[in-house]
Amino acid sequence: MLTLYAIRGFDPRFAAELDLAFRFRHDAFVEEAGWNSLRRADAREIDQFDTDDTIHIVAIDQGAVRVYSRLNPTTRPYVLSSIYPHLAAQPIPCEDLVWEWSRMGTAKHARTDGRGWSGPIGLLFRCVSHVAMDLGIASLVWQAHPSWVSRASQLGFDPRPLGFPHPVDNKTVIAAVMDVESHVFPTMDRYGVPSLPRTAETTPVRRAA
Amino acid sequence: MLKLVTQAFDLVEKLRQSSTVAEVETTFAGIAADSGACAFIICDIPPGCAPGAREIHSSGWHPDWERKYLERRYAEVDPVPNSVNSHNEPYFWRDLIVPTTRNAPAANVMQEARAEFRMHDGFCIPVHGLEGVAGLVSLATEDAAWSLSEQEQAAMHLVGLYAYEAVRRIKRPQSPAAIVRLSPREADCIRWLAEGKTAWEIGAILGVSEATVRTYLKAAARKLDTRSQAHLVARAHRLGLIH
Repeated sequence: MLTLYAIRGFDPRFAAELDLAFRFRHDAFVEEAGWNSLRRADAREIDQFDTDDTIHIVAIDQGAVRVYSRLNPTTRPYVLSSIYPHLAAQPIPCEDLVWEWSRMGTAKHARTDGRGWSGPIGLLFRCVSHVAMDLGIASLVWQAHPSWVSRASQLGFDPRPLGFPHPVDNKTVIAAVMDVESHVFPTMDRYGVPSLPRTAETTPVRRAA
Repeated sequence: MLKLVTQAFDLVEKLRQSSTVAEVETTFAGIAADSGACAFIICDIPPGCAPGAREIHSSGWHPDWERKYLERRYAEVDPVPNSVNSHNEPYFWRDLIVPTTRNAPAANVMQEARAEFRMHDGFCIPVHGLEGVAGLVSLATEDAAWSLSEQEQAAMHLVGLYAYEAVRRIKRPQSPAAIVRLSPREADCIRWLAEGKTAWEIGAILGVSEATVRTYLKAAARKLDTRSQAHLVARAHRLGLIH
């Protein structure tokens, strides 16, 4: 049974879920994706952008993280504005209703199962959209491979580029911003993106506006 | 510097706002010509099918080459479209490794394009969406010494992706946001809201009651799928519904 958590900051009520999430991040981004600068001895990937304002989106199924993502307000220093400002050729967003979507993570076992790689990514888009809508977030800023422009567009989003595709650690990355709109949900249904069961829950969070 | 680079974001915006494939083709033809290409193609690669089996939008190719390409089913052996699945990043045709002995038909297609139709090189942008969705945007040049700087390649990558998405969106519309229309009164209310006016003040300006203003704003919020007044103003602005 899949349970979706939206956990603000380091909420102690969800310490166990957060622990799973940070371990998942270490597996996904350090061990698998090779972001060695994030390596930590305790195998929990946590950085300076995990703050009290952060929303951790964690979908857990049978004790294992299926998808993870992080949302941060753009009104405080965030990954694009602090680490990759050179990815932006347009003004870097700084607005209450615009949040950054980072650490897009999907479980490896789900991705390596034949050609099923897009199922988990669809689920990731669904979880993130669901939580962002709940929070009243209008737009999400993200940086990823340019194929994410195609994926997001295909699911009914309208991503706008903030900069040119640019090499980062031997991979091409583009920064983009897109609105979060409810019409993406029927499009996701049409593409067979797994739906969130009724039991999915989000923790009560302060609305973004 | 090429217009491609200096105006990349305007070109993307133009492609995003295009409502017909012809518009996309015209815009992209300008980009192609400006960067030294003589022809381009935007096409799908449906799963299990030859590239372009479903949708092809192209411009500038020699009609004899197009006919021959289709008749002889060159898409099945041409290394340019057949490299899309193995490439995440754009590539020049010249950089494809085409074994001449084992895969002679591939080399022959490229040789024929060069010798008979003066297409000496090209630049191909692979498109990878979710499962089963792939395509390409490819440009050809008659200039044997054609090159694009890293910045130009990045800009072409960006603009090419958006040309592909524009065609896909127009052919398979599924975004209600694309057809949202506000009534002139609704737009007026949002414009005044953006100026910081209250519903009562907007009513006084427009000569209607405060309740009527709230009705307009509620209708607009429903159309734009927004949760707050700030959200409404931001979304309306972004969709170009107010300026």
